[in-house]
Amino acid sequence: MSIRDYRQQLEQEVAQESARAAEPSGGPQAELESAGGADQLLSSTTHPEAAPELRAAALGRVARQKDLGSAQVAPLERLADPNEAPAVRVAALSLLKLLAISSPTFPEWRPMFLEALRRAVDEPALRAAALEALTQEGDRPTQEKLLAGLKDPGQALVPVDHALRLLSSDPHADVREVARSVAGNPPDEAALLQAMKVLAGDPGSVEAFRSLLADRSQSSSVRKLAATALNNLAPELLQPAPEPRLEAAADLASAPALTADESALAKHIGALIRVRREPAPR
Amino acid sequence: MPLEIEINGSATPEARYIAYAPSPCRIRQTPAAGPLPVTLSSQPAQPGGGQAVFYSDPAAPSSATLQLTLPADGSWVDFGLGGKWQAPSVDDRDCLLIATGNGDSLTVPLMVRLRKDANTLLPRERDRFLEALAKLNAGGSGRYQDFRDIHVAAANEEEHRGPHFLPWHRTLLLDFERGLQDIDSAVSLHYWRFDQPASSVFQSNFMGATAQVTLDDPPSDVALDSGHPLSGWITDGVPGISRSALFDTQTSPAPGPPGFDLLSEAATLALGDVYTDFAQMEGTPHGAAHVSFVGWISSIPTAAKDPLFFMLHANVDRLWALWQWLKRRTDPNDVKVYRGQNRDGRRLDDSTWPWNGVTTSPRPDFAPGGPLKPSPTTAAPGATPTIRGVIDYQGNSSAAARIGYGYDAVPFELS
Amino acid sequence: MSLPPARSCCGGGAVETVPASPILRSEADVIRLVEAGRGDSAYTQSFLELLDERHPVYSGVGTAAVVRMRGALLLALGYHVLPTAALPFVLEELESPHEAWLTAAAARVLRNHPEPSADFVAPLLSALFYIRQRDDTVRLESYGGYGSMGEPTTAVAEVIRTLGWLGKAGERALPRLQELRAREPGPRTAARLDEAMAAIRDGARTAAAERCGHARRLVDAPRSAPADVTELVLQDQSGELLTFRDFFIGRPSIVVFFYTRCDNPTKCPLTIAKLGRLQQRLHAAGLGDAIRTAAITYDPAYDLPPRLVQYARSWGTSTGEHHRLLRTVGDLAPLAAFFELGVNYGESGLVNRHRIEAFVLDSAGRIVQVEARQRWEESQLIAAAVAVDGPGGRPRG
Repeated sequence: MSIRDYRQQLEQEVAQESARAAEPSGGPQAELESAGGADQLLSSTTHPEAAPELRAAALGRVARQKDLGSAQVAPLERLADPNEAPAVRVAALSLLKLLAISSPTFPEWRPMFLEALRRAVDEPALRAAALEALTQEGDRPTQEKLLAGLKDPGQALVPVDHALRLLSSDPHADVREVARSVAGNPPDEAALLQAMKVLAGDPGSVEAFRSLLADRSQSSSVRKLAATALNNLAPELLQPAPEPRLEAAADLASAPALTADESALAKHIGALIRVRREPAPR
Repeated sequence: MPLEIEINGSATPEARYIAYAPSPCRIRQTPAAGPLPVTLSSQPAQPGGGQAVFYSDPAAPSSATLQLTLPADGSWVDFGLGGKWQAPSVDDRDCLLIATGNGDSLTVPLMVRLRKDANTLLPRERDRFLEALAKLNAGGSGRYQDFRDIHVAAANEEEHRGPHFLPWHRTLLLDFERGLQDIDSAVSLHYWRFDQPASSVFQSNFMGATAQVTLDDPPSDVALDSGHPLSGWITDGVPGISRSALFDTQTSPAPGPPGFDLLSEAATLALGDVYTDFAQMEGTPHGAAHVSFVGWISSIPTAAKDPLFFMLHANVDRLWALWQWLKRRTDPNDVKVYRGQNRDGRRLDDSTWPWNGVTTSPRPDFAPGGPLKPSPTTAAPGATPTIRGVIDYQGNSSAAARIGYGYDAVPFELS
Repeated sequence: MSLPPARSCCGGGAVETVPASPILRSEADVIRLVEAGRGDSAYTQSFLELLDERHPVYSGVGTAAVVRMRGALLLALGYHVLPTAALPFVLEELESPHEAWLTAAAARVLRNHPEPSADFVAPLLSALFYIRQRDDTVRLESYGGYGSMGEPTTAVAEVIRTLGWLGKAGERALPRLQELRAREPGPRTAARLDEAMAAIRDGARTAAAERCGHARRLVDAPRSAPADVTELVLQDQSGELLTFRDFFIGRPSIVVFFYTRCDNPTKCPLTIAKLGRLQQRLHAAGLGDAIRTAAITYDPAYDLPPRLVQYARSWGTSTGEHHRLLRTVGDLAPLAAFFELGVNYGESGLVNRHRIEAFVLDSAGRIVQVEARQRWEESQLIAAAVAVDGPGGRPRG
């Protein structure tokens, strides 16, 4: 398509979009907004007759209409309200995450956001999203709760692997000791992998990673992660793994899965070594 | 050799990269008895390769060939060389510039190097990009850390929530891309077109197979093929890339939160004719794209840990570039093109942190990464760029403003 | 175990000694002590000792516990009247903020200092700038800040209120406060800023006597390195091995400490950036070979050479024959003892707290000056290094 035709095409598309934006919307949404205006829309977010999905969408539309400096008010109220339908609270959380990126007043309402998120942790349908947002913000009380849950399963809010994943993003969350004990006696492979990710920053775990890497009874995922961790902590210990050679067709018949795993591991190690930083001159 | 050509002010191969915007070139003959008429043309080195067009001066329309007369005394004759619309390179040196005159000819291989829709890359383009990206991270101890350190909460005011959002991120991406090109000069920062399904991007051989979840679920790490260059990706000392999607990456575009939908390309362009209106796109589609995932990319303090972040932002920048082209908004002196605020880092002629190294109030006390990386293909925007310096990125208003990159789907010529 | 009293450059007021300080081992001990002694000047010395990073109560505990304890200690110290000896700890917390509870506590107790001072402006503005991006609701009457006792407040609210408390002593803050106000930061913040600015303009208080916040510890006598330090093997960012003697004996040097996993942008990243600026000044003055600089990691097992290279590059310090990033190949302990480093480690071995600290060594490798807690100034460290005399009289180079 020529540049001129491209321009014409885009201009047409833009004109269509502008026309569509100017039209009133139809459908159930329109019934809620029939009188127009942001206030009507706002009250529709709490309209007792409306289905949660519609109210969630109305909440989004309210946020879009407001200027970015004050769009968080309604979503914060909905998120913090334990009596609100989970679908609406989840939508509110998602909106608040968007506003946390683009609102110029976020520093002012960050404390309220964190408070609302901490309350949302109590609601099972919101727990994962709230914990994610809280740990992304580096919230220490949340880190402590997750740690407590790892040390005492009676207090656990989420499964072990999930808790470890959330805590792994902050080295100062002090989860390393717990990760070591989980790695020593993992309830499942997911927990082991997450524990290993935490320990990839622990120089004291080098020997453990060497053993895991050499242990052929471990899964491919575990051995690959052990190699990655070793590359991070003690790269001189990671040597290219030779591609396994088959002496005879009998070998192929007897251990096809092992060969595939060994091959995958060799490729993985090769990639780790290939992208290493060149040693620096002084 | 009777003919000599320089591209981007240099005879070296490092400078032989062009985008759509005409690169300054020149040609001469060794001193001879008389003037020499030459014809310049371009063709791909192999089928599917890149092709270039010629500009007798930057304001002139492009032409497929150019006739020049080279003076007898051997002085240089200038001309412009840009990529032909919709004929970018796929490989390094797959575009040929050919000069013929009086039986002599000179062929110079070069690359029409453009940022492309990542979903359309050939496997070898994709793999080169991934290799460079992985080396930039170097298992956590590479220069990727600088970009991780720049995009943190403490520096928010420098980067987000204002008119400077778009030029600041344009500068970030330029620095990042030049970092990739230091490793492999044939690589560009390709974009993730979030308003369309991008099934190839979210695969285990590219940016990772990304599971679909709801907000109720925790994220998981993306799945990568064995031996994938990003296998050893480490940020903040932790391996892996934590990202799941709130949509089916194989069939759907990124949706945004309910009621705050991610705008399509056309709807984004339709936000308005002036910069202040267009810059609303920081909310949607930009913010909406970020929060279409669960995992690092959904929050500012952690977003830059996921390399997809840079491809997301390349699309944001492409939308701005496309709007600039469509609305002819390239002269930085026009407030319809950029309207700043009366605050450091937001006025048209303010330099941009951290590349300006300014660490006195109101900027943060730290400025990671040093000055903006140079490029062998252009002197712009300089080591300490300003907002002004990145607005006219193709040099439509002022040829010297060309900063050396372009998008496959954003033309140079305004008409 | 009792520690030597922390010296500061002014007397700090007479303190009655507490009969036989209890041995404090745990957070629970700290909580009891704080509850028993808050506001009681007889406990001031004990509280100050507990703010020393090296105190065993911080060994092997998590960062969250350290934060709670330090905040509670600041609040206890400043419960009625904040003693001047506590100022370095309060100002450090404001200048390099990272946790809302600590910043709020520091800002609150500063208002109990007998006199405001213009020297408080810069730390308070730094607190405002950084903690804004990490603000949180805390209750200062609840231990740790997240309980239910007391009125909710935020770190930003406390900092702004303390700026207003400065009265006329806070005049230098007005331009920054006006600029922040003009940005439309949000209605609550705007109202607080208006109130603070009015209090500064209308304040009756005038600038106080010079504050004694800077815990510059002028070493009484140069401290020589013992043998286990001089023969200590170090590794630089290029991988080269050398001993302490090789680098630190022969010409004067300036030494800072850091670690690459420091998550407070106002601490280690800034330390290394300032080291880079200091190096530029040295080179500009022709002293780049005469005076050495070194940045030594608190985290030698993790901060291997490639990480040191990247960190130097990231934050803008250069390396070379006379300017290096270093790690100990073995244990850091001998160096930590020699420098009396203000650092402690959690259960997992990662730093859980450290202060900002910089040292000047003479040509014999003896510590002659320490700058601790507040941000050091490049010019002052250089001046101290230049004034040093090595064996034989002049610094070599």
